[in-house]
Amino acid sequence: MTPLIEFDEVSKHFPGVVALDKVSFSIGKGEVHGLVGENGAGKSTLVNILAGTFGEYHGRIRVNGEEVRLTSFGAAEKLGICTVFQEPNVLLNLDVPTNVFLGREPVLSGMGLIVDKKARYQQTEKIFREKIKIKIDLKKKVGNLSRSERQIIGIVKGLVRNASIFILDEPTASLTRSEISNLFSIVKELKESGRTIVFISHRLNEVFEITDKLTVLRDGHHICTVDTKSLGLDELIGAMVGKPIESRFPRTEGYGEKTVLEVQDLSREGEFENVSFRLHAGEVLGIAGVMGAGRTELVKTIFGATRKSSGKILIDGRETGKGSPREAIRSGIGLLTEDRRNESLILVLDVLKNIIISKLQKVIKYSAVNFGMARKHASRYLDMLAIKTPSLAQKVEYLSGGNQQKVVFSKLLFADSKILIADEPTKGIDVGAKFEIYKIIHDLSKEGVGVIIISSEIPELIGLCHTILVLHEGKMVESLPNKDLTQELVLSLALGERIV
Amino acid sequence: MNYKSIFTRYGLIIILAAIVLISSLISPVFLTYQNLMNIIRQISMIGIIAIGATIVLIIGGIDLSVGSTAVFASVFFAGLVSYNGLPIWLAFAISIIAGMAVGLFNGSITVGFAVPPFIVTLASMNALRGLAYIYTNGGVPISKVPSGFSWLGREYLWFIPVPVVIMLLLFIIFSLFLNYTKSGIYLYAVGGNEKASGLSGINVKWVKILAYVIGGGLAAVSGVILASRLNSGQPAAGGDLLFNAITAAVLGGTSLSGGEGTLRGTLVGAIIIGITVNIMTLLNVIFFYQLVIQGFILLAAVILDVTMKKR
Repeated sequence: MTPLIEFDEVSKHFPGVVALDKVSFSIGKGEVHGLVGENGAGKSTLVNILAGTFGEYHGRIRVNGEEVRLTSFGAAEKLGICTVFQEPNVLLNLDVPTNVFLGREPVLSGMGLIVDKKARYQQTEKIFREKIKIKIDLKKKVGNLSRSERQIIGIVKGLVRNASIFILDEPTASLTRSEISNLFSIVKELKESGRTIVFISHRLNEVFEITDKLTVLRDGHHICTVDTKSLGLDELIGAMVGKPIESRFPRTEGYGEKTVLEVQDLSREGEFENVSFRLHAGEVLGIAGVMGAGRTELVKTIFGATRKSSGKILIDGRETGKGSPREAIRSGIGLLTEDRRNESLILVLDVLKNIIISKLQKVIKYSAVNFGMARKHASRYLDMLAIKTPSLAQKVEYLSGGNQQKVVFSKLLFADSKILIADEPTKGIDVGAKFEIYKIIHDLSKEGVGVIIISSEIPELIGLCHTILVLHEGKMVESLPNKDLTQELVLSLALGERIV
Repeated sequence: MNYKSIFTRYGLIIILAAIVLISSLISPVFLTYQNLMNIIRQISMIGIIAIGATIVLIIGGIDLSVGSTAVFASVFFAGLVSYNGLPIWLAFAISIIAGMAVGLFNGSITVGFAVPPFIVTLASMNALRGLAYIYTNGGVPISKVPSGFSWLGREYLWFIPVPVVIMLLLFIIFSLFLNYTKSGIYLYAVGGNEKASGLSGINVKWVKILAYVIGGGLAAVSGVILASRLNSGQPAAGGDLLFNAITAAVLGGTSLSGGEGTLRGTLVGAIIIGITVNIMTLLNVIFFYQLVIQGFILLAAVILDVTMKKR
């Protein structure tokens, strides 16, 4: 029997990164197919290729045995593919039937242009009654509905378009228990009517509950496609994290006694609660957790970019005030944000200006910037961090991801950061550059800088950190000294599968 | 260096040289002393106002009210001298402060209420034009001015017209400001990436307001020169200032999306506009046709900017 969808050596490259590398597997008709892997494994890339978002990719995709090119959203839709993203494609300012029938409105017979609103409403109502079996006030604007209801609308949109393949990208990430069981009964309904579902989730218990088959991706590679029943939880986690690679990390040594940062019962409503920890001079502290665990939110609050709801932040024993990035930088905190291009760098400015921008006063003389002095500082970082750029006057835009990240490190070093917070410092960076960044972090800690690293790559945290803090859904699960820790243990804690 | 980088670096100068060459060939009057003085005097007003327009574009904003601010400042200046009998220097200073106040208003509203600058300055553009007419009792030109009023607009320092001296000084001062001071560099940073600037510890709101204040102040300087040239306060004058200021900045390579632009470029842009207007007038091109042609020059400049960026 020909499979419904066949991937044949599908690859996708982004500047500096291979997001998917010759992935081949197939999905059978009428199955619920789970797609799992750590962050950055290539799940989203694969989903976006199927949805037609990218337009360009390498390799072949066959649907029902026929080769197709998914060059646009429309092309995917014609093949019966309906993708429901985590943030579904709906128009918040319009009501439910308008959203559901957008682009294929029923018209009044004989009057080609006038929308038959009554028919539209009735048909929507019928689908909800017969197939979805959930009550939603259809007259409400979609913006006033919950996220789970919006996802359901995304599915109904697919039903109206006679879609036969439904891709649900992390549909349960922000849903409550009862909403999830609603969604699962819809998934079962879809399956019974012969449709195929691709299900992406971080929550492995859900994957075991709902899927027939599983495909594991890791670092853009296809690891395996198996019957869900044939696999145990530990085996699955093992497949997701891969074999331990230790040799690429510089050896960690001890750290100082002095507490440079202390966080006490820090909370921010709806994001994280009661987080407490101490960071010592020279200590590397890792924060593990899956998407939605509140990691980025936590460090943004420590940096003063967002306001805390309660709790205390102490730097060198002194409590901080209301908090702002300015204040944080002045007291020696440097933040390397996850979104390098939009939050850390000013792409249209040159390397030099990006390095000095957060502490211009250091090179000001007679109220003017002394560029000679600034260049001297900056050149030192170019050498120290081995930044490859034609000159300091090069726009940062044109550097590779790894070199851009090193410019961010230079910026934080120039600002004399005593506490360095790095949010996914190796995201989207080539393997070689990754190792250099590990070395930078290691050297900084040796010089007494306290470092906090957020990473979705658990081997990275185990390889680099003295201590690992695990967050799950905004709560601190555990603070573990990095001794005899395994990736499996950290991942299952982060997934909320296990409690120490 | 390949063709493209030569063009991006010197393209504007090449275009300028071509325009000068063609103009001098088709009009015998073009290269006369009298005409050249006319051109540079004309350019000075555009140039000064365009410095401000450039700075606002650099932060990623836009100020549509610069023309009206200039016109308001020009009648206010004339009024302070004529109605209130203030000394010219004092009237000059007060008018500039008034222009800065307009900028402060525009900037604060934009930043404080997160209203797009396009809307805020569109509103103040209209309001200021109205105020200029109200202030002059329904549009009666203020022409009873003492001798010396026209010094700024019509006299010479040695052999250079006074407004040209003022313009050149302002270009030098603001070039230094943009390139060497903390605030100047912050203007580029904020225009390039507001979020990253905020996370780099820059007070983004303050920097944005500063840009509008500078823009308003410079518009007022230009307005004062306008009044002095006309030797009166004319609420109906200066209708082309906004258009020319924005065109000069864009011709000079200032990016409409913020973060990029130099005053050197703007100056060349202003010169190109001044010469184009002049040669069209010398050739007796009817004013209305001039407007059409100018419109297309602006469009061509923007299209060039966009396509160069894509490649």
